[in-house]
Amino acid sequence: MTKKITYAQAICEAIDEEMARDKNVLILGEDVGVLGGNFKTAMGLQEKYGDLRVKDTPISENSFLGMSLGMALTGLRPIVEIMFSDFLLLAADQLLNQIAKIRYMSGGQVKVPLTVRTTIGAGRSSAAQHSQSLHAIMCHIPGLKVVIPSSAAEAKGLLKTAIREDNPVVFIEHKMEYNQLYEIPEGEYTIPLGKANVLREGSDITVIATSNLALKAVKAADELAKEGIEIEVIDPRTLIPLDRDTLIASVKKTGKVLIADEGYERCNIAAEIVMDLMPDIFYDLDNPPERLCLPNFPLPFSPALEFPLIPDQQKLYKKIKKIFEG
Amino acid sequence: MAKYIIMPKLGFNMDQGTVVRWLKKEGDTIKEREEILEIETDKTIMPVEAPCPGILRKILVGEGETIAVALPIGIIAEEKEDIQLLIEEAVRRLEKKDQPITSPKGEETNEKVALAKTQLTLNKKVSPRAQRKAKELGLDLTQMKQDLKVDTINEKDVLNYYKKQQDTTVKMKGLTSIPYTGMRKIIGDRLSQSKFTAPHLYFTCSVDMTLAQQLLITKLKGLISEKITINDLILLVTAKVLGEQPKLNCSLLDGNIVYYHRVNLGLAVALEEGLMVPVLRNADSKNLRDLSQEAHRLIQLARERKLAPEDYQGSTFTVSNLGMYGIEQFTAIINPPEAAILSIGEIKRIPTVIETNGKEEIAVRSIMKVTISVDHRLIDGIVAAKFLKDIRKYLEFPEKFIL
Amino acid sequence: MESNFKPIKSYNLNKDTLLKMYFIMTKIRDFENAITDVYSRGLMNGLAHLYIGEEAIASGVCSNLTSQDYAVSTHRGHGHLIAQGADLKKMMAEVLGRKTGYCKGKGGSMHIMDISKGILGANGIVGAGIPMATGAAYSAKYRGTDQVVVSFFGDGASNQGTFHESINMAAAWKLPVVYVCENNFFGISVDIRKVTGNPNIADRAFGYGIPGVAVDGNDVLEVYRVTHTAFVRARKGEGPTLIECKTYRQKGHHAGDPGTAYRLEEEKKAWMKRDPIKTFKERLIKEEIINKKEIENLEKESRKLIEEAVQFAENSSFPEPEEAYQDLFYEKEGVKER
Repeated sequence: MTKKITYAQAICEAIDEEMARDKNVLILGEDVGVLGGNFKTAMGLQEKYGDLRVKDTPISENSFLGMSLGMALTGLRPIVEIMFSDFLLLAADQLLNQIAKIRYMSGGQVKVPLTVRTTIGAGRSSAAQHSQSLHAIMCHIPGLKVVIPSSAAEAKGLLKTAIREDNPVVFIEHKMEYNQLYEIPEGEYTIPLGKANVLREGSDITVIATSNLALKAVKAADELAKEGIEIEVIDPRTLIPLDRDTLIASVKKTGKVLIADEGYERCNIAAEIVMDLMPDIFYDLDNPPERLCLPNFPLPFSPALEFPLIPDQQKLYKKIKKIFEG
Repeated sequence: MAKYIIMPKLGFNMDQGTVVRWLKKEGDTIKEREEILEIETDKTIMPVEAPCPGILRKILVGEGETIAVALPIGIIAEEKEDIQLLIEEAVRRLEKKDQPITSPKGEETNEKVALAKTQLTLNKKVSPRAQRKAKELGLDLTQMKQDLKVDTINEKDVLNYYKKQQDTTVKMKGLTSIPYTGMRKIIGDRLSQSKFTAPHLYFTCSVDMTLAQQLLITKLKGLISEKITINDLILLVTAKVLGEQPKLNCSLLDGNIVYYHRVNLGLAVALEEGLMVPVLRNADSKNLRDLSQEAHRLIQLARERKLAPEDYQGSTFTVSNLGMYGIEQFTAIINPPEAAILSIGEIKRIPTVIETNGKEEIAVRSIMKVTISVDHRLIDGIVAAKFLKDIRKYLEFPEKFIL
Repeated sequence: MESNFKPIKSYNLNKDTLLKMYFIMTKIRDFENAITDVYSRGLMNGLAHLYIGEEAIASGVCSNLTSQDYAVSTHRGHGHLIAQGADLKKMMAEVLGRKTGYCKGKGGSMHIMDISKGILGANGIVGAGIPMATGAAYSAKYRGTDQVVVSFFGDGASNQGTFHESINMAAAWKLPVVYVCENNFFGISVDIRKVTGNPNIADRAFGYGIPGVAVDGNDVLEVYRVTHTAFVRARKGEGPTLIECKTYRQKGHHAGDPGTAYRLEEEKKAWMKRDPIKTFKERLIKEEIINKKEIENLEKESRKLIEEAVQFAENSSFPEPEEAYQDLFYEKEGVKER
């Protein structure tokens, strides 16, 4: 049994279900209370759970993220909404120096059951400071788990698991997806962290695609199949921890790998994935590994400039075709 | 009358060939239909006959070079005939504009071009997956690089190449040819190298195996439960004598004669695709029962194709027994880098003169011919003879040392 | 600053409480001196930031805390930890990087934490503990308890963004947190008075709509009194208070820093005369609350405890190299960390 709702509604359901299930779960962030979230991810929650559990914060990212750490250490299970991943940089000290490290520095005395939700993605003419996909930075600092769902159904299941996780999780949502309608299963379900999802099987090339690029890759797959190229699409779901086994098995089968991610090309998560897998896939590679990312430039404002830069279904199709022509 | 030797077209698929070896050099007299060079195509190495008698005046294409069919590769003419025009035309056709006309330099440039071509071939890129596949299939990467026209070799290319090789059985003009590759070629190359490098010297003696046979049937049956064969006995004796006469347990390696402290016997096992030689280690320190067990184990593994690399490396002396095929005597090729190999023939019941109580009489005895091939660089006749003498002594009177 | 200590009797505190306060200060002083000693002997790696001269603040504030309350400290945190009853042995072992330390050698002096005593940790980033304390206060309000959180920080941190953001939110939401600013006038070498528009930090409270009080940080009883009022306010749900304790760092910024290059001699001399422990001891004896013998016993006991702690630490083994790969994530039984 499935139902059709938006990506934002799916996330809202996940938060609602977890707040109902555990009285220590609360959500804080800018505009989450009265407005129900800038992307409508907390609609109706403040009426339902009250001001203390659904808290509108002032524009103080560093401190309210730091506060959520204090809450997590003293019995609560906070969800913090940071409107754009770009703004996480304002809270870099609390996220990367405090939250990521406090368990380790304390010698394991404490655990930090905290979820930080943020958004990535270009395509809204929001220009350079509101369109970045900075999840690679979250992956670089040890101590954070990084979850990046592809569709609404995936987002709901993964968010519930992330909230229940007793470690800090950065949950990456794609801002262009919020208003898209998706089929999601009825009833309660969770998706485990650290397990990738093979969206489509194929024998010619492994395409590892993050966030909504996974869905775009599946669409490109149909076009490519007409040309006799069968691609295998894998949604990694979590970057930390990475499901190495599924990815390695796939590359061993196909001998080729393309990683698609909306971060900037330089130091993209693609580079890390390839290096991580390389000891196990080197002798299986028939071609050098490839990646499709944003070029190394800030995102420009005008749609005429912005859209040609964003990785999409067309670019995936072209790039994969080129690999097989060569 | 001057004539070109041309690269012949030997199959309708053949469009180029490689000069493997010139059998004659410039200045040699060539007879009618004499074989003057060998060329290689995708399929095999073939000799090429001279188109006419005369003197081999010019070699235009050197060894290792690959050119298209029908192009000139040499010139046969009378001794004093002027072949300048022929050379120039050939050079033009071969597109070697920088090729000088006089011979010595010509050879040098040929070599350089050949080397450059080889370099280009070897610099071709092969993906790690393709390399692994090629290794798996026993393909020669260098050969493959020369044959394939692509710049980068992928797994698909390797698989196609292999399939083409397997598929090429062409029936034409009453012959069937298959590629000379894989295990066959590896063994062939090694044996060729052995035969052409080591000056082989052979000695044979006849051994009376009557007592040995009796011993196995009567005496040992009661003492040892496992089945001991004549071959086991031969191995035991060989190991023992080698231990006592270590001069034959050596190799010529990198300019040194290396004498081994252990006797590791290679046991030649005939399989359908070729010869396998598993190694029985420390044969000289084993008793008959252990030796027999190990020998049977190794031979079984070889037959099942389950030998690990360490099982067929490191032999110091090989024994080959073709008695079961009814071969009376044969001269085996030494298994490099060993110094000698023992060839065992069949045991035949023949009338022989024996001495009983000081009187000579004719009796039917079991006689087995044993031949040793030695590398004369390392082993002299007298050493080989002495070895055989002791082999014979122990085999003819086995009781003395077995029990 | 003039010596205008009020008579002890006017505080209406019993002898036990007064002795406890004195004992805490002596322990802190002895511990910090022991740190200087192990540092000079080459046993200590990294940096330790000594609390010498500021003991009255930790003692005065923490004497108000119950076992249920929380405190968040700074990089200069040994005083707060000891005042809250932290285990001296485990503290010293942690400073010397041994596996018996509070954090198994993973944190060091600046990151010591004892969650069992509500000590949410010392912190190496200036001002980073303030939001953490504020969040813990939010948690107390959320769970409906009457816990209070003390947020210790220095004059340097009062200029960090987190100070402003956190106090603002605590004030807006009436969180049960007491902000204690230990103003020793210097952020390493920078004189706060040269880089702050209004160097009276307590004045800022007005801007947030909460009470702000400046107090002589070397007078343990004044510190106690002012903090007590703030705690009552917090437990009643009336919100945060900002307390500025003016004090002086007798040594340099960290163990090994003489701290003379950037400070005025006269100012230092004046403050040294007002040593919090010496002055308190004199007052206790003068007002005949305690006799010399009792005090000496306390001091002997303190020294003994610190010596035992040093012994324990020196005799403890270092952690194994493999331990560096543990304690990153909390994993349920049987699940390996990556």
